[in-house]
Amino acid sequence: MTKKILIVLAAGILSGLIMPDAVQGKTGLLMDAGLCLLLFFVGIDLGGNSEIFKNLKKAGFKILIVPVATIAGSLLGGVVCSVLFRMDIFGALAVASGMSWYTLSAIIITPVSPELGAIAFLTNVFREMMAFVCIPIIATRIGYLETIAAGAAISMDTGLPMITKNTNQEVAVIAFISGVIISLSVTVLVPIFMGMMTGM
Amino acid sequence: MAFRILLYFGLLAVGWILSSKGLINKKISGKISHLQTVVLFGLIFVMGVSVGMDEQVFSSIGKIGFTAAAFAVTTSGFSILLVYVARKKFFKDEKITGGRHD
Repeated sequence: MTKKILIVLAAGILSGLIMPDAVQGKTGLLMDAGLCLLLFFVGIDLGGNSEIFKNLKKAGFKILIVPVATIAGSLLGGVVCSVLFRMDIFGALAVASGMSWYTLSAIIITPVSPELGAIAFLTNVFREMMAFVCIPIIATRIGYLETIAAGAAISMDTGLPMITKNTNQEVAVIAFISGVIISLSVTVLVPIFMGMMTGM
Repeated sequence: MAFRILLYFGLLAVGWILSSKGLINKKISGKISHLQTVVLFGLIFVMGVSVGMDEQVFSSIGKIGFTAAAFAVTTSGFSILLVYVARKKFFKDEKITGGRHD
């Protein structure tokens, strides 16, 4: 699976380099349409299994630990990077708070610092691409819940079909709930850390 | 943001309801996994195209690529590590853990 994903991703990037600019405006529409179709399919998949809610009920509020641990881990990674690259700690935390949502984090950070905005953009593009490539490996070698940590914010949309394909329906539901919580936290954390960085 | 969350939740819910009420043709529901794979690869290809066409990404890769790659690996790695620790401590159900308690 990982090898096929890498080949398709590389083919897409290479195609993007030679495609006319007119195509650029249509990629967003194509991705939205494909994503809607995939989420509908995931719904059909989930509906075919009546045991899901029983199993999730058994797990209870514990499932909220997954998004909390994912967010905490990302912030910890940001602290480590601030030390490694001798960066402002709040700037590094703002980049880390993007959690795969590259458009939003870069949009918020760029007006304050274009360089940090570019780092945020690229960091989260890399994190999303890494998630696509690593989810099958993480599901097989580490564990199902860790696939959500890799996907972070995309666990509720583009990453959800990949998580569903490599785990099961119970984890798919946890991934969606976690993805929503993580995405909401991005909208709060990035502006907070940027405000702390600029002293506002 | 709110609209997107509602849209995604709505699509999941419609698929879920149609499937649980038996309103999806068995021929189609039997091929859902295959259909998912086809659309998923299409989505990954288009994602690659959009990255390849984005000049901001390519112009900045040389300058800040290493820093961004380190951020991506570190943030993702620590998230995975903390979820791994939490899973070992709090989750025992094999359906959720993937059968890994080691």
